[in-house]
Amino acid sequence: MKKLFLFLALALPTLAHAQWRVGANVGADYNHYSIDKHYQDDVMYKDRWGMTAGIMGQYDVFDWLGVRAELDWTQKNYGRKRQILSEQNYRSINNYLQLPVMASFSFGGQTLRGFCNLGFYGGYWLNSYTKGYDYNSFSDKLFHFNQKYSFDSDRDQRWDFGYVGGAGVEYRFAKHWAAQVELRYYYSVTSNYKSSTVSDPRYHATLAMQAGVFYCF
Amino acid sequence: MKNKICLWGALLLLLTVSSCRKDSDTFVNYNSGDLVAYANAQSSYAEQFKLFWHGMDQNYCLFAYERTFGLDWDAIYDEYLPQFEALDKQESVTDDEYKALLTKVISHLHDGHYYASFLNYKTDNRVRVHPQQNRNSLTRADFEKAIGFMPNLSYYYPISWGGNGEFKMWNIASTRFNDFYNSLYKNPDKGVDWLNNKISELKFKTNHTEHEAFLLQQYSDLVYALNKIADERMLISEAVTYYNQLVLMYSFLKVPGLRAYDPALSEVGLCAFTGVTKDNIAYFYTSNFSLSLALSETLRNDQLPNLSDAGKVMLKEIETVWRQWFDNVQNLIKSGELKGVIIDIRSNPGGYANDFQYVIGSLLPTGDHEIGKVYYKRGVGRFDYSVTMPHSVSAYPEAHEVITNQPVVILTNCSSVSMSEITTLSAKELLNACQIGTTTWGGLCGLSENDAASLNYSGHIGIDDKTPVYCKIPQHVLLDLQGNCYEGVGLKPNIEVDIDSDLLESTGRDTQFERALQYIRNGN
Repeated sequence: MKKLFLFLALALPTLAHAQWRVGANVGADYNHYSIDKHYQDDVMYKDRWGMTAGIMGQYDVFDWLGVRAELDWTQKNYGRKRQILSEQNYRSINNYLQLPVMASFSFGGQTLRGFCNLGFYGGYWLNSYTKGYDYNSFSDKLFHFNQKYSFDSDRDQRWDFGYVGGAGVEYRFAKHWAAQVELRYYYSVTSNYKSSTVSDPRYHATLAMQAGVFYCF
Repeated sequence: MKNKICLWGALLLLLTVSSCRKDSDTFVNYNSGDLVAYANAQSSYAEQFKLFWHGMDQNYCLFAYERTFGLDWDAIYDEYLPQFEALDKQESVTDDEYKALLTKVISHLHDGHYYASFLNYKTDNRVRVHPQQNRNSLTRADFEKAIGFMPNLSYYYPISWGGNGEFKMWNIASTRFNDFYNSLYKNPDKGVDWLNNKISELKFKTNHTEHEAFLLQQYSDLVYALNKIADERMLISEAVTYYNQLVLMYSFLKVPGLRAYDPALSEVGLCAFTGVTKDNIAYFYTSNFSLSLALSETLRNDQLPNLSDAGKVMLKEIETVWRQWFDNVQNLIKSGELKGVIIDIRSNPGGYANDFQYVIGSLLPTGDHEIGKVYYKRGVGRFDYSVTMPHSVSAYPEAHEVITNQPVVILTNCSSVSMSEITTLSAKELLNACQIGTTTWGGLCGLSENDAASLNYSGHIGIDDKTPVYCKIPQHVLLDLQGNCYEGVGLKPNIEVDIDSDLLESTGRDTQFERALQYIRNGN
């Protein structure tokens, strides 16, 4: 208890500089799906673009250090096709709700500052859509599809966790307003394909380019 | 200070990042007969089990369906690997012992076509397992009756054929060697009966010329030689070779009906018959679905490139029977007199999907008809599947009359398998047909050749009789239009009727056929 009081006493001067800010962001992301193809020689997994948007909250402990949390809708899309059998072509659109929590380090002047975010995120695979075409070899017919993906609790891991890091620039354009552009990277450490006796993990890695606006209290 | 915190934070993150993702296990391609992949399995039961388990994990498309039966594939590994390891430690393992353990493992699977062959390296024998056969033998009351069953409707033949006249028209043809051989004994104008008549005539004569004595000896020798085929229970391949030698040796006798049999037909032989009842119910039976060999020149040339003239003649006879069935239905529809149709596929083990157009397809409008849905493996993960796609089949392509509201009956039993079941499913969905008889086998999911394994990453594990482990597995999952799967279960009849074997034997009456007649005539 005494140690806690001592910490608070030492921190008091710095708390005077603490500042809340809230905001929103929107952007595009580019997702890479890491999967071992094993012996499927002609199968190709393609990186795909998606969207991201969310709301942000940040508590600036010092003028160079803050804690940021966001609630983002982020897409983690990818494609699967075959080089020899081009009739098999799948595009997977995956919508995640993510909660990144990051330490935000900033540097520079009052108006224009650089920043770097480092932290962790947790997310949930909300839904998924699949479109493309496939080939029914039994009846020799090509099939076009655009449909919702059905989750399978034995196959799909809907919870997603990982590391997040980003860097960007902030422009304070008014007393209480700031605009940011950021390049951010989500590195999942949770396979979205559940393991069994055999390990066949599959991971997303997502690069997001986003722009946001903060209101600083 | 702040820069140090930022720098250390970034370094810590980088260090932890790379250590948090798991590596994938190495997956081996068991579709082919690669010797390296199967090397360890040549001399270890445990390695054979692991190979089987992993091969199935990567290639079997029915795991999602198997969950409805409570299958936990991971638990199978944990439960049975120690038992296979224990076998490796034994001095000797009999084939029966190995088969018993394999049967226990594989009995959890519900693929109706499933067949596995394992090498017992301690005896150097192959051990073979058919889970659906085991399952049906234990659970189906008509299993024994259905094996090898072939309809015998002679009781109902036209009066001119010696029957009760239920049928006013009847024809039969067969390319099967057993039927071909038996036909030599059934007709006084040909074959063995003709020979016996000649022998009797010559024996009746008191003074033989030298030539007549020679002929008498030759006729007698030939009858004795032909009887040997049945008496010694020769295998089909052996019997065909022996018979064709007799045809050559005794060709100078000019025995009616004694013609060569093309060995190419012995593996794909079929029997077909057709009839029309006195009140215009058209009946068709085929013992298997290889009508395409008789009716499709393209498929015949592909499958039987070296078919002899004798073989072509026999296939022409099949074509004649089918054409009579088709023309009878067409003419009766045109005249408004068709009372109904009976398609008999009891104990029909299946065959070519192309045959659809000649049976159910000849009753449907031209074009494609959706009969169900399919999905395939699309990766080596246990649940890596394609989207579910519609599955359609093509009707008979030439312009023809079609069934409108005339009742259609499909006769099935426990040994109606594969294409027979697809035929039944299609008839029920597209023609509102009534399935009469007993539940079918439970093998609707289609198969493929191993050379197309990477098309759908399924179909076979290993090569039969070559690799120490071989499994024949389906290439896709077939569902009906409502998304139901019947694999390992079979199609239940609308009207369940078992064959009364005693009645059939004592009187020749076929209870299932009679129930079909009753349904068409009375509507129930």
